[in-house]
Amino acid sequence: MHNPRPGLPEFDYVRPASLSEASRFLAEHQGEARPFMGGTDTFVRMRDGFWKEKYIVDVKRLDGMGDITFDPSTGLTIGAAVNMNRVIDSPEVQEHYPLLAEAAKTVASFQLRSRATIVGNICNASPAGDTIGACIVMGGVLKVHGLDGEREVPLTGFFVGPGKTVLKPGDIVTAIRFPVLPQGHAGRYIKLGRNALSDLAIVGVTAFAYPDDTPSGYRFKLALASVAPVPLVPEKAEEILTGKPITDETIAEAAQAAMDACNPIDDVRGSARYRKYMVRNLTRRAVTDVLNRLQ
Amino acid sequence: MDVRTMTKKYVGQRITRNEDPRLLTGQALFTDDVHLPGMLHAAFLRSDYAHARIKRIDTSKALERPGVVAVYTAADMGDFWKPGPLLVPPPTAVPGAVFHKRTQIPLAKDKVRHMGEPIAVVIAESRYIAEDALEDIEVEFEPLPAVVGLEEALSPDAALVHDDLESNLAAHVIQEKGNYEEAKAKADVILQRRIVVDRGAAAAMENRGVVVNWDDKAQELTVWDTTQAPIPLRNGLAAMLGLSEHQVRVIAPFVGGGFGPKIMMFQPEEVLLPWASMRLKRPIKWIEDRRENFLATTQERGQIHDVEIALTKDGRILGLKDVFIHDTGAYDPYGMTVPLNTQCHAVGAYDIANYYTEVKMVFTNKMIVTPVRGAGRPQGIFVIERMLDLAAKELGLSPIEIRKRNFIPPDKFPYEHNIIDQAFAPLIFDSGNYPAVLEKAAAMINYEYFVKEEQPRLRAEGKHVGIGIVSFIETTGVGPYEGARITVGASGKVNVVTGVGTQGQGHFTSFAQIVADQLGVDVRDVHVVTGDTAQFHWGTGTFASRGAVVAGNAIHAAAVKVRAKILQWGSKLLDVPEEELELADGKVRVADMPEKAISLGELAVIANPLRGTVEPGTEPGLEATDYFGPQYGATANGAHAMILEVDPETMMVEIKKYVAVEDCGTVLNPLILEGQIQGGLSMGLGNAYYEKLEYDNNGQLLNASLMDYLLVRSTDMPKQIELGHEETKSPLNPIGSKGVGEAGAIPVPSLFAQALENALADYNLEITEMPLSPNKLYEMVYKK
Ligand SMILES: Cc1cc2nc3c(=O)[nH]c(=O)nc-3n(C[C@H](O)[C@H](O)[C@H](O)COP(=O)(O)OP(=O)(O)OC[C@H]3O[C@@H](n4cnc5c(N)ncnc54)[C@H](O)[C@@H]3O)c2cc1C
Repeated sequence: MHNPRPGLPEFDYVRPASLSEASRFLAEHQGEARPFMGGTDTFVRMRDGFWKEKYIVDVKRLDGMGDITFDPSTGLTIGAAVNMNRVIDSPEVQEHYPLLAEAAKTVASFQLRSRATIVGNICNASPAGDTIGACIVMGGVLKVHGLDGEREVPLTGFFVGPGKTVLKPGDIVTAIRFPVLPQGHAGRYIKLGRNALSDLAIVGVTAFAYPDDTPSGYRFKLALASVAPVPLVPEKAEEILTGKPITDETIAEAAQAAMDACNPIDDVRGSARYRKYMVRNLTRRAVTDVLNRLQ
Repeated sequence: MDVRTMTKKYVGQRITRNEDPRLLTGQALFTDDVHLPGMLHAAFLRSDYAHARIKRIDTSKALERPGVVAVYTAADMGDFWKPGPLLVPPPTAVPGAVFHKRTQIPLAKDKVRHMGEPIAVVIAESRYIAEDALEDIEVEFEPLPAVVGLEEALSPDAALVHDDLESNLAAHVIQEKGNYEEAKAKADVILQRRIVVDRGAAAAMENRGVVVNWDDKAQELTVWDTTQAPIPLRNGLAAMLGLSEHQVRVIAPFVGGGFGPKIMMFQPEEVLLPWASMRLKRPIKWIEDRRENFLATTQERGQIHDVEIALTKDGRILGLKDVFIHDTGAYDPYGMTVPLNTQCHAVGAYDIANYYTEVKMVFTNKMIVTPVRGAGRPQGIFVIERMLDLAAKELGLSPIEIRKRNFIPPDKFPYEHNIIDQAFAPLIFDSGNYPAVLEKAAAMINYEYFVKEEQPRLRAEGKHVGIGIVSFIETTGVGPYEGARITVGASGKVNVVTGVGTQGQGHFTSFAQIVADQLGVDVRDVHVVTGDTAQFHWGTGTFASRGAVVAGNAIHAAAVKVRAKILQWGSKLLDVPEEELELADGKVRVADMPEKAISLGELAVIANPLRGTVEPGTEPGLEATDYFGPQYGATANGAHAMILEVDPETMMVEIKKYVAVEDCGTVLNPLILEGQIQGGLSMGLGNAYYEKLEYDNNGQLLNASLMDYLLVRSTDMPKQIELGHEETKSPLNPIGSKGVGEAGAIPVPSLFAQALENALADYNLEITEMPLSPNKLYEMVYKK
């Protein structure tokens, strides 16, 4: 429920000098300290009384957190603190990972995107996160600094529940890394809010594919937003699109499988029933768009 | 008026607004900009329950918190605790009317009747402390079943919102013109439908706010308040506090949107804080936050109609019967204004000889209902326009044709309806040319071409495009009266003061235009003051689309008087007859010899001499005060049309083109008029497809935030908006104006419904409910 009297509580603002110091501080203050990037989820949650952290830990200026780097042989790395407008404007993203820019563009407004980050979107682990699907289907891997130093964490299995991830106390995501994508790939993100722009997704469908040696000629990846407790990968639908020749019937069958895979809730923003049908209709549409882009 | 006397005419010109430089550079004063030394801050403890008995309140812990200055509950208020006044008289003008007055109370005493109802107020050194202290207050509740649904409210086993009443019936009014049953007996076609309209929020950009300062040495109370009605508020507060009107000054500074709820007076916050300031002898500020605004600012539109329309086979309406329930929420301080408006608008722009209308107003455990832009009119228009559309389908007529066959003809004005309106006077439509307005809208949207050529082509491409066109009327400019005082100063600049408040309507410009034309001065040299009771003593307020009509004509009348004074002085000093003078360029001059002139500034000094003698009967200065009260309200009208496209897989809608033709009589400033229409349109679209206050069965408001409650944004507005005007001047006032403040919002839900049905023609859809949403429409269409 809402806090009947919204307002930011008192907290201390901490800015550690290094990642190790930050990890240590976070681990020592488990449950009462939180790292943040753009703060667009953090401060809203605190104002609404859901989070009552004593310490807000600013890690966004630490080593490399603000950089985007692209290497044709290893891929793309986006520092955790890079805001979404910078991702959208990046020539490398536009050329090699256009799906990420397409998804980021659907987030709220220009103003919000000048603070909001992709890593924040992921770590916030809302099933409605608009950029999460793109990161999943393109094989994004998080770089994490923890008490035991650096490690990599794939997005598969990263989300545990609404707002819950496998990150441990002291863990700080420093960047998200994407591999070099297969030749000829194409993607599409369709977000459905209740209005033309800036609403949160009541359904989001990400579709991604590339030519491959399969019965359909493609390898398909899908992800669904806002229809389950965590961002959902409808594996059966992916298999249908990969394992059968592409026809209208195959697409419809996959769309139905996506619909059957999800388990949305009724809330004040949308009914479960509508959400399910929208998954079907928009999966069909997203897959069709991807196929058009593949050609 | 002699045309020769006018060099440049401002009325009717599209000039930019005088107030905008101040607003755009952040220089305008809003209530929250008021900071006073030693100012305290208030926070209200509001009920989380919609309906509960209060068993015990303990404020002792809150009082112990450092920085808390006072905590008040109903028990602390003594004799000052009283239900608020009834702001509008009961509908006794209607024979047989039943009305139970139950007005809002400053703090809940033994029970709470809606979620958000204030129970206690904390006054502290800062808002932070005040809000923290709210958590220290202990309240023991005994929850009661909540009355939420309108029909359920009237069921015999419903809980009682007011224990001393026999039922939740707040009022019952029946009005009849002609004889519906007789008309029905002669009808070829009779249609019956249930029509449901639900609640939305006014959602002004600026929430409510009050700053109060009791000056103990001067024995004066100053109140800055986001009110639409500063003078009545001043009068009421003076009476409640036992002060003279001259000891109380209410200032409504710039206000970021009124839209109706700010005409609701003596709200708990604005009554309690002056009282507290007098006791504590310190200034106090309270600024509503958005969640409070959702819970505790008045709302509108919940009604359920059972409608029957009787027609001949060629589509002439023989009679209309409308039996409806109106939700007034937990209290009814605003009387029956909203449902009476509905009764007066359910006849639309049509010549209906037989009309039966019956309303039962019910109390529910929801926030109080008072007018929100439209004020019962959109519901009435929705009823008649929907029924006409359904009848047109039944009879195979076009929406345009059925309307044309039923319009009040232009030669039938003034048209008497023989029912009582919101001003408790007989409803009379003063003037209009309804067919011309509809035809213009049809031409502007290219109706024939779209239906015959474009739509078939687009449909063949698989697009679900639809067109709609509706007409509507808007009763505006109701009395009783407003006044104004106009003074020409020694600098030659003109000062205009009036009692109405302003909430963004452009009064500083449109009023200045009226005066500039009369006095021949630059419109930028006319300074308008509104909303300060120390500047003008009499008046009622800005509501019911009446500012331009009632205050505008009062200003006009005062300007005419000042003009006469100037001519008199000019004639004497320049030694020529008045007829040979003109007022231009800030001077009075001889028309044929412009160099023979005196500036108005010089004249103002001469007219207010320091020594010597004056003639008997002379009033000093170039100043005059005058008033205007219309005989009855002027009725504006319009026709709106739109083309939209629906995505049947999601039910998302895009409005391709929107046309609004308005007849609001004389247009003062087309730029301001367009702003009013566009703003109204966005609210109307909200009422149609985006905004709905969702109360659950316990009376909990589920979407009390701007994340969940969806406001219309620029990206939801039509891609193209075209405005057209017809000018049928109102015979009821010298300027010939009619109001237009609510017009934009009124026809939109009915238009949206018609266009949606047209776009989804292959789904055989019938829309009898608003607001909708893509989600809801999808479920309606695919329910089978
Ligand atoms: C008005 C408004 C509109 C919005 N609209 C949308 C929308 O359309 N679509 C959408 O997807 N979201 C939307 N959001 C939500 C939010 O903006 C996004 O989720 C955004 O991407 C969060 O990024 P951030 O950098 O601001 O996150 P932050 O608030 O900084 O962090 C979010 C969470 O991630 C954790 N975190 C942040 N950085 C790290 C790190 N480096 N290591 C470990 N944990 C970390 C934080 O502790 C917190 O739990 C909206 C928010 C607002 C206020």
